[in-house]
Amino acid sequence: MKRRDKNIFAALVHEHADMLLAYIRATIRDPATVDDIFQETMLVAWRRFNDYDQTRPLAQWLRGIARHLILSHYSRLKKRPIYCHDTVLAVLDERFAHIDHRTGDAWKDKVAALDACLEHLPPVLRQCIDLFYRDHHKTADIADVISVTREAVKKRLQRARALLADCLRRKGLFPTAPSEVTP
Amino acid sequence: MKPEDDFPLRDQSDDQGALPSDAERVADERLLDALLTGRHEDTPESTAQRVERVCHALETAPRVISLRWKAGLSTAAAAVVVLGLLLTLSAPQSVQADLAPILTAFDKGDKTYQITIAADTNEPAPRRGFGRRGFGRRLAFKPPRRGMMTRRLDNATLQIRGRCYVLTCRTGRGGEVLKGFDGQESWLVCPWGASARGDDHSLLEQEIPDHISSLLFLDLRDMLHQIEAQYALSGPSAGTLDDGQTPTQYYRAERIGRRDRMPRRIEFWVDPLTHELQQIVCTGVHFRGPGRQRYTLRITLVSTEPLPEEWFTQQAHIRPSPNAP
Repeated sequence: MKRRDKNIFAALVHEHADMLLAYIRATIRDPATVDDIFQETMLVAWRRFNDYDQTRPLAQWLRGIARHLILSHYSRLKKRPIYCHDTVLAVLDERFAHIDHRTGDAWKDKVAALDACLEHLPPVLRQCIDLFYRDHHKTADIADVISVTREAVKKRLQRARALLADCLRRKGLFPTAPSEVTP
Repeated sequence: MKPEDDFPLRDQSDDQGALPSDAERVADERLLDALLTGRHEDTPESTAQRVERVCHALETAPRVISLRWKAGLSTAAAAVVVLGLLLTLSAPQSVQADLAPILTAFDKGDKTYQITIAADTNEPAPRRGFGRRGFGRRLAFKPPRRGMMTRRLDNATLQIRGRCYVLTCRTGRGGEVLKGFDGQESWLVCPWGASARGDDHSLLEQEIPDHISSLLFLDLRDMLHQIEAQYALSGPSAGTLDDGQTPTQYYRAERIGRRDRMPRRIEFWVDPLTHELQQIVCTGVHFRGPGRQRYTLRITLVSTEPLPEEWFTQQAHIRPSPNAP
């Protein structure tokens, strides 16, 4: 491998890493598998870089490779969760393509609206979100901490996410009009 | 990201083939969850580490992962006997290219490996039936006895120089059975003085069935053939040996074909500097004999000290009989 090519590819990996991880996380729950698929995607991308049509967005091409690997992963497991149904994946592709077109250099800039939406969450819901995602507590532990039932924690997390989704729609991160998706 | 049972999203059961009632809502929830997870986990440091790992993998084995793309094709093709013949006639160029440094290192110098075998405890138990007859069978069931083959191979020593090898197995009475290959002929030396020579590996058959002989490094290229055709290979990733300190490159191959006699998983650890195979672990190995018991075969590098020049010949191991004149 030429050093210059490697450096260019490393820059591309760096630029798209957060987006690709978000895409893989949306379809795979196990963090170790997420890392594996991420690395495989980049390696396949490197190997097939000559096949890449430069008139198309690179992010979309990378997601295509990742999608193939994700489906292969579930094929090996002989199971396919409902959130990896073709219809859901098609919607996810659409969502990511929508975010690709937002202004901002990095993925974090493009999804910065999430920070603003989190600020507007009611404190009770924000607390649950922070404990769950930032502090990596399980719902049972959160229930102990804030002295509610585990089911109540789950409901609060659902409610928080629903509010965040509404907020992101208002801010244009998620499309507002229902999309026409074919399986 | 949280474990399966601790993931409070709505309507996200893993029902296979079920249609999501509201694909957009499910997709939005998944995306939102991914964004929230990434918000805390994807720091500049973690991203830099991931990029570094990718670049490292590009330098060491840029094409290994391509096997996964071929997985479906290989599985279907494995059913065709003719292809099996073709596979033996044509070298697996991609795997050999990717693991070329390992093959090169393997051909250099002498190596001594220790073999251990343990019964798999995670493998599914044999079916014993239900109802009255099943109850009788359950009562009569005894765990399968450990066969002679596994007894002999456990704690065996394997010494290798290129294609030559000496396999030293311990018998139940404390003696040693040596089987080897000097580059031209296979040979056998038994503790009671008997010895034999042959022009193929059939002398090994008693200890090592064909389907796993290559796993014991006796034919590393054949092992790569099998991995390409029957397994999905991933790696390398950073790992350590059992001592938790020695850094290695870790490869993992999961069986994707239906050849149930083959190990379910093959893992191997390679020294990142010398590319020497440090350890290979085959899980779910089936030896000859009744029952469905599976074993874990572990082969660990214990020495790279040079062996005597004639060590791999039969003559070096034949001891004069005490009764001989």
